[in-house]
Amino acid sequence: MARLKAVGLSDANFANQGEEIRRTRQEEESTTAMSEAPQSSNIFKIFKLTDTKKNGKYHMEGIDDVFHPERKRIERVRLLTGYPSIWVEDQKGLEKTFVEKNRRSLIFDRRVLRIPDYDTAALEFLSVCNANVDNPNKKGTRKITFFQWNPERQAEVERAKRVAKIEAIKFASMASDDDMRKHCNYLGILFNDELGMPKSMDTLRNDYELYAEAQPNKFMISAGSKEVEIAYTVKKALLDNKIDVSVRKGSAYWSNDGGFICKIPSTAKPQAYLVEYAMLPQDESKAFLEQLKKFNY
Amino acid sequence: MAGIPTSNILQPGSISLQTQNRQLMVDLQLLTPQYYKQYTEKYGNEDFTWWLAAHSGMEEVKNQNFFWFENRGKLMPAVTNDATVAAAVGATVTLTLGAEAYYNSGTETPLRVNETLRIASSNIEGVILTIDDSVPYAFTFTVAPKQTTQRFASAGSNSLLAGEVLLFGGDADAGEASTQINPLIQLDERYDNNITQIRDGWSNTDLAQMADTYYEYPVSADMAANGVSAFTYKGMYKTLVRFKNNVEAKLMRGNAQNNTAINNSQGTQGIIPKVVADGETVGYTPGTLDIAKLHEITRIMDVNGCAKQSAWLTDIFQRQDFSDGIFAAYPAGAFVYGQGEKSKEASVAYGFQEIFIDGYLLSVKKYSQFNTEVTTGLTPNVDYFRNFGLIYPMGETKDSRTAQAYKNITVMYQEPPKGGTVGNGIRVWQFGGGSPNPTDGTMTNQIAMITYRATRVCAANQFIIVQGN
Repeated sequence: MARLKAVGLSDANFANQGEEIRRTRQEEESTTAMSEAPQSSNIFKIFKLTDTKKNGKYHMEGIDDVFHPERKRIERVRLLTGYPSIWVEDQKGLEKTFVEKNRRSLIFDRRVLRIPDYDTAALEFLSVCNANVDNPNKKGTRKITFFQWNPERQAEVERAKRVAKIEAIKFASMASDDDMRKHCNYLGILFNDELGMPKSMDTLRNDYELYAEAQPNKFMISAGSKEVEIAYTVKKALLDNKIDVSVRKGSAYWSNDGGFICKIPSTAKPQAYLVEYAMLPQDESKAFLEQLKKFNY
Repeated sequence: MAGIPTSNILQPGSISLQTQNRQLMVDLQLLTPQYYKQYTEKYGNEDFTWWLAAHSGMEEVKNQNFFWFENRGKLMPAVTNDATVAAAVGATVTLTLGAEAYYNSGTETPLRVNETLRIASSNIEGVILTIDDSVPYAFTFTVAPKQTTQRFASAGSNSLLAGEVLLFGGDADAGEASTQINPLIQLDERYDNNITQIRDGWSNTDLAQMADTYYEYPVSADMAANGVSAFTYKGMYKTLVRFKNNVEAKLMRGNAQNNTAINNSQGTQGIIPKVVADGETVGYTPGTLDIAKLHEITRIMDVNGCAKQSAWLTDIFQRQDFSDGIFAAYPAGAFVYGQGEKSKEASVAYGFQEIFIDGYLLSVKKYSQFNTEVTTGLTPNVDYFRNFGLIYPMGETKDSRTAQAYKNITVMYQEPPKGGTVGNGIRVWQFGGGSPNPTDGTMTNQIAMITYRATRVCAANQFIIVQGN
């Protein structure tokens, strides 16, 4: 009679057949349970330190004295692992050792802290924390602060910057030559190139547009303003010697009849002060402005 | 937290004038004998960088800029998984590499084909089969589990979760007639700092020098022979001490300068700004600096390979947070002290109080300069260094380029022109018509002092700032 080994059946180990079936069944059972388990999708909230130069970690203590929005008073919050409320008022009766062993720190790694949405205690702590710059109820000054990452807010800010830049460039390219020259004068854009030669209108407009692109907000604040017009007129009047600020230091006079215009403080530059003076609401200033307009620059 | 009341301390303690003149002395009534006995050394100082320089020495550099190299990260690599990916049993998964693992504008990473990966949460092993490196900062790679009955998934999940840490295990289970795996190149990081110029001066007129001021500051015979009066000596002494304090403050809390509208000095990054940027920061609420917090701190020290002997400089508030209970619970015990600044003698000289916890000897010392009240007599509403502490490891780290051993903190200096006249790289000189070294016709005696110093903080990740709210 042939032995089992001889027919190649010894490895089948019929004696353990029941064990093999049990093992396979257990594996399938586990696999099925895992496959049919509901998917848990975590949404994380991201917090970032305001200090952009922090490379090391920041271990933020989960304790703070904050404003309670309902009780309208300062209360202590304490973040504990395994306890739902962060308010120390609600943590009365906890054992001292439990509190000591379960205090939590929140770790910003390379400025970033990720908290899953189910960690409601940590999220509540972060929202009421004084170090949260977005917290409207924050009190006192914190040396290390953070904010909740908000890509939509960032997108809005970046878009607003881009729109401002586009509007400024558009204004710069559409302005008449005359308006452009006046505004260039106000902004301090040079009318001569580096060799001292007068710039052509195209070159000046290029510099004007470059300024609008680089500093759109500063550009638009003065674009088309009354101050630009007055600044240009005052400068022209000074260059044409229609206003004299040298005959007596600290005073401005009309050159034609020697009429007194105003006193100029020693700390102020005559041109800048005369522009400021022309915009004041008093009668003398209005008369000065009317006189300037008669030059028709 | 409110500061320490200082209304009993007169302000200002000093004023700035081009030269000290006789009128000033009359104004301050310093000529009146009944006052001078009360004019004593009231406010003490405890300088850290001077203590360190005395016990550990300084290192001379020949150029204003100096630099060193540190390992960029740990020896054993690990990466993270960027997004949650479903993992079937035995199936190969395609993962996106986490943001922290990119180098060189997102074109280089530690990934290599045939690398064994272990999931940190489940310890399941897999191997990298392919890498798609076509998009910078968005590399994808496929990983097959090593056992067909396993999912390449996080613990308790059917998926590999976002942020899961994947530990590199080398080319394990390479097989017969295996081929070469790409090497992992350990990256180095260069760090720079600059020597900065710190100077001060003293000046007095001929009449101020000659006036009999009732001062009893001891002036040695040779100094007296050089025309140094007691009053000059006292003024110079006070200026020197203030100068010393300013050097300390610049090296501890000062920072670099890049405003060219001021002057062309680059300044120097002090110890604390360096640690704030590159070290660890542990926050705490004043009054809760307890044993649990100390354990948290030693865990951080452990992770960062901190030296077993560390100094902990605290402000007065933080020092008071150390209850007697903590010092009693963790006495220094048996510990083998090192040499220089790590010696028991240096520790005693500086007044450290020591605790031994989790294998770390923490030498705790109040650092008075942290508290504005103590140094200046004014109480700020918010003081940056109130409830503040700095843990600095008294260890060494090797320069990753030259293998030269660097201490965690070294005071660096350049030798002043003509050499230091007081020692330790400080040059002091006199000039003016009234000085022993007359240089012009104006009857003033002017004394100037300058030093060129900086600090080198190596392995800043091993330093910890313990900062209260």
